[in-house]
Amino acid sequence: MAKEGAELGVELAEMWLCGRSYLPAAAEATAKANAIIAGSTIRDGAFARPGTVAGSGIQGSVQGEVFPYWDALRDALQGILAEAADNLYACGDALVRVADVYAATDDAARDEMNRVTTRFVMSDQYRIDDPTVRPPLYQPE
Amino acid sequence: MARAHPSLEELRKLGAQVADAAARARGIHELKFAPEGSPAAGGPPDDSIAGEKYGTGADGRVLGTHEDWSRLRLGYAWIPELFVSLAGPEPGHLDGLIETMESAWKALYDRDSGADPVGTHIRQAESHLSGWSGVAAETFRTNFLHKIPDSVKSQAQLAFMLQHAALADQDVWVETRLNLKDLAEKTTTALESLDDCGGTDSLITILTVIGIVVSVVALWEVAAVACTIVASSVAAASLVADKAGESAVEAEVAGDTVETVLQNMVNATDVLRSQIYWSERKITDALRENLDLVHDTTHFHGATSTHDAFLPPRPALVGESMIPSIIRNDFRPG
Repeated sequence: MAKEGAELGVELAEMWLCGRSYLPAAAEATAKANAIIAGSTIRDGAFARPGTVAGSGIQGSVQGEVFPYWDALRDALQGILAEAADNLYACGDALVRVADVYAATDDAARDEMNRVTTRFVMSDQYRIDDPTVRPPLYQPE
Repeated sequence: MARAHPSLEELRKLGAQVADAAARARGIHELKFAPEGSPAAGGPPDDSIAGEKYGTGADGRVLGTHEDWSRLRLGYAWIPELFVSLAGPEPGHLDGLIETMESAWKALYDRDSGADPVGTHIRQAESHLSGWSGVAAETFRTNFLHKIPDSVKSQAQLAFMLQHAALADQDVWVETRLNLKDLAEKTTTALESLDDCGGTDSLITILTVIGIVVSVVALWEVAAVACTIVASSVAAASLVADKAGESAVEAEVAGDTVETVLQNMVNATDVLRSQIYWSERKITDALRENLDLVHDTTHFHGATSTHDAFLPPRPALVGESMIPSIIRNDFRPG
């Protein structure tokens, strides 16, 4: 990116757009799946069946053979999704920081970047992320 | 949605019917009790009853009072509990988890429609970053952005695996309950037909539950990751399935005496228990295999971890300390 001035400003605006729109959108889709997986734990009783409670000899409700492995794999996936979404948000933020820091060193680039990013913000074409309003990410308990 | 199957209460009732039939057959055929409700039951002995050699109590009355029959039934109270103990989870309750896992893989990557929200946003990002070059740019692209679409498909595949493991377990228990119903009905018939010379259908095809759990390997052509998927026969109908493990076991419940019939029934439940064990073992093996796959590809980088196939490493770009070098190397080369 050995460019400067307005041309560089456009490139930096594109980088800013990735950081504020595309990567957060990818993160949000991942966070949605993370929330779906996390929300499934309220249905864990579905595996419960009549049986002998381990170590007690008492007849009651037990979770069965499949659930422990199913639960472990679900936890692994939930953790992966939480981390994947977090990485995407962090990368988006990093791209915005790189664009901002560099724009500060070149007045013409900064002005052009501000002009183009304002156009992005005003456009209906792009959904601009608000870093203060992001979905929660659920790590397995 | 789970196929039609008997509820726990229905199985308990079917078990109670077996117990009633056993008590009745024992009373009539072995103890010579007058059937409960018959005019003779509990009444004084008379010639005709004595002629049939019905049992009489210490008071000389014909056996078959309500208390006599209750005492006899008590000896078979274990039968309904036997059926309940094998009923497993209510299959319909697994519907929610199955649907939830389907929502999860569809949110990530919908293999049916091809909808790929994460991959689409990443490809758009890549096109907007095409003007960015240099070491940091290439590293970011190669080690992170390029890997995301495939990693998302692998994540979706894990959710798909979870869905189908629950679906397979649901099928095991639906089939188990149908087999228990069949077993109860045929045992009842066998008990009611102790005097008959054949003619009743007392042969049970026990449990093809192992057969309904099939392994489907590499359902998706996902880069570098081939999860083993367990699928139910229903779900796998349109997929390539290995049904080599399928087996049907037959058992005969008919017998000469009440106890023989019940022993045959218990033997059949032992086979059923074994089939359930191996069916669930097959599901847990597949889950464990996938869990190992996730763990084997997990690498720790300081405080963060990566599951290469499932989660590309967090880029160095994220660290604040990298920004000056990115600017120096990528924006002002030379």
